[in-house]
Amino acid sequence: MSEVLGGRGRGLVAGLAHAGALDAEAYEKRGRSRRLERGPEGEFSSTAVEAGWAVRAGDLRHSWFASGAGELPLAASWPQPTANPLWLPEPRPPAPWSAPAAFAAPLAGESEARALLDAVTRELARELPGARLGSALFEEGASEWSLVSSRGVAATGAARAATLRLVAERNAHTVTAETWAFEAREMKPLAVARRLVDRLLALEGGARPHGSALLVAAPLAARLVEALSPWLIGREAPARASALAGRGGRLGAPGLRLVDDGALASGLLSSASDGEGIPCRELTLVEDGRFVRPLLAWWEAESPAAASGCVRRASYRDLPRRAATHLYLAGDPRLGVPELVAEAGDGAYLIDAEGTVAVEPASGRFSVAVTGFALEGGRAKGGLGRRVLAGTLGGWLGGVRAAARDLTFVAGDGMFGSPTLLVDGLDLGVPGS
Amino acid sequence: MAFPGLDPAAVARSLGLVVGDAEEPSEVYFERRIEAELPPAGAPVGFRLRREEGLAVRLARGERTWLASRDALTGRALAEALRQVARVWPAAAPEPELEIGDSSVAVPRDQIAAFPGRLELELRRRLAAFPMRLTVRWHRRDLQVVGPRMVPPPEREAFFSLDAELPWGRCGELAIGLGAAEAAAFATRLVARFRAREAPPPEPGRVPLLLAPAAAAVALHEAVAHALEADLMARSGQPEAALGLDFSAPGLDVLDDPSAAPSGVERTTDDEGSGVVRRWLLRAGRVEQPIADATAARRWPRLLPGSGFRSGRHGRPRPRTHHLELLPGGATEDELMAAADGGLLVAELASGTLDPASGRFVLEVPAARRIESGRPGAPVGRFRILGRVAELLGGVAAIGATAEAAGAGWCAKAGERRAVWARAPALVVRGLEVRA
Repeated sequence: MSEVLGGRGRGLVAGLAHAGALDAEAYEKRGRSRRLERGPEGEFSSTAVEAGWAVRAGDLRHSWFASGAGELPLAASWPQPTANPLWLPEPRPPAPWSAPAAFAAPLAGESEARALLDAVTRELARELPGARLGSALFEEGASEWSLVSSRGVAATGAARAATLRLVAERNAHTVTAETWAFEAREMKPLAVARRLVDRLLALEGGARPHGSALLVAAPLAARLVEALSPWLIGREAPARASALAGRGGRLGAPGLRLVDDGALASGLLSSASDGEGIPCRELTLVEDGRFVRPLLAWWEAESPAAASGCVRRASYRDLPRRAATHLYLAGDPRLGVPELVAEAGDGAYLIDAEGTVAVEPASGRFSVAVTGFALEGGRAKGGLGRRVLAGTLGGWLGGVRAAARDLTFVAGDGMFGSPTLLVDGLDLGVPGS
Repeated sequence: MAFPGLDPAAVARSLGLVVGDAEEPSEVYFERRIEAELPPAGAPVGFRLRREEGLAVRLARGERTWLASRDALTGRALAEALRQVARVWPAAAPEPELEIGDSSVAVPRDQIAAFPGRLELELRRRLAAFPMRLTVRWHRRDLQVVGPRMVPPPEREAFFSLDAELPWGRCGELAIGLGAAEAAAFATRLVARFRAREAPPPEPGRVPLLLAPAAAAVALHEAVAHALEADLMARSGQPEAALGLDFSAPGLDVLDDPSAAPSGVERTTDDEGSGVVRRWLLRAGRVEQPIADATAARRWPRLLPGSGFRSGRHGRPRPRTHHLELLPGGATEDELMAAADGGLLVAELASGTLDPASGRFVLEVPAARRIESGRPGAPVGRFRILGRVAELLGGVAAIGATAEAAGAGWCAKAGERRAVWARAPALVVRGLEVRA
């Protein structure tokens, strides 16, 4: 990626303004990706080099949007506008931010990707005889973007991520696991294999928990944060969040803190600016269990300073839309998972979701298939088999008794994070009950 | 012409330099796409036009396949992609010549712009008015596949899509044209949803279901088409082992025939350049030929290629349906109603999902009507139909005598979205679970 992005955008925006469009914005993006997929059909390796652009132009009465693959054209047959408004943000100084060093590293080669999948396959068979990978998908990609507008916004950004999606099988049980990192070499085959093994063993068991304590491991708790996210975004969020709140208007247990941070240094989506050039920053949405503020795009915030920097473009083809960036429950830096397990006593240790979290939008009631281990005297015993965790999102937040420090993120429409939680107020049942 | 100046012979020569065995699936895939979108009134940013082009090179050797894709139609992009899949580029080989000119495609903007007014007129005729955000889109995809030995004709798919956001849910439609007939049909669907908006869901249980053609097509898409895709079948066994298996009630004849799709989206070859076939998925309820692409057909020789479709140049070809057909049975409308008496008349499904491992499916029903004394009765609100593929296919009690084009929609497989088409009669199914 030798050619600097943004130069053509400046020229184009100036040209459009000169031609009569009051406002104009040019967005350019390019990226490359590597993918290695294994399954019953064999092995599939692909590489892609993508480049594209998008332009918006108009005024408060008329506007148009155009996008295309390749290099941003300086002149084109632009669409005739329709009677829809266009509004663009004013420039705001970005907060200090530096891209993680991994952005510049080359993508994994085919042989490295193959070696990673081989290593996971080997470790899985070694850790749990009879277990095998049904399919595996490794993906790694890097991209960079530039944004220029007639209002004076000039922003750039870069992103990079590696993903591993594995389907493991043993004794008629199947688990699907995903793991994410900045780059492939951060992925540890033994750790990945052990996660699969834990879940397969947990599914094979039939233990019944003797106590009521529920320990929700970080990946499962992060999926609940993801399910909660629609209640926290947009102008309507305060009213929606209040519907989840319990007695005294409290949304969560005392001490509970929920944060969104688009500039999170260790986050896969970390960026200085969002998809419209608004600075990304850390925002506390729930403090000490009380709702503080929603995530707001600049166009719905009462003042520029209240904008969250949470607008994302899924690709150059897509219009910017607001979404969570790194939305997470903050943990207790003094509390490790072993201490939390010991504190739990008798009950269940739920290690992961075995499906998506189904939520009723009106009530906030949710249910999700899970698996885990019975806990006795603060020690993990037999596997629980497939169980269903159910409750309300408000009941879950209000029932958080303690949070460990193992903050873990999962990917969805944004990144969602949580540490391991000790919770009250949720039901653990068997499927179909 | 979508690709003026493209010299397929020169591309085939370049591809031939890196292909070891011409029997292995390998090709260069050229693509141009346009999407024109009229957003709802008041939406931020007006008319939206998206144009893309690019190429992909695929090469297979044994059990390994490589694909390299680029967002450009240039000789340099082709050379890079060839080099990437071959890992070795003959030292004496020149960079392939590729000079593809611009294509001038007229976007049917007048048709798009006129549709919201037409729809409003049809709603007024039905004495209905309600808030709605309507998005109208036109989609066109041109593709050209070039293999080392053969160059199939260029293919094109062009159609419209409608997306209405209503206070009580979304309603979508795919259509070949946007005339008065399409406006009337879409208005009828919207009004049915409007009238059922406050109706309670049906009581949970297992009641007979009369699936109108649009609903029958979506149900069979999940229960037959996805269940008989070779790559999904391979997850739980050998796809060839299913050949000859009694899969459904004996009266069920289900085909996939891309050449019989509506005019404008019909295909003579798939996205790998293989000729499409009139594929009998089920003949009298027995599995005859699962849906396969070239990769599956190479691995399992009793399978026929011709159903390898891609979401775009960056995606790999996968076995996918294009135009599903359920052949009509003999039941009249009165007989269908009688067979489903006491049950529910389901005019359409909002969506469906299948878990290929367990065979369980879920169909989302936005609204339906009770069937009382052999006639459509009171409306019921949103609910779900749950079951296993075997229950749906074994529970078919009657098949309507008249098939119609219905049930077209977007199919997402492995996160990749394609438009799919269908033709079906109505069906009566017993034994499926209904749940709010």
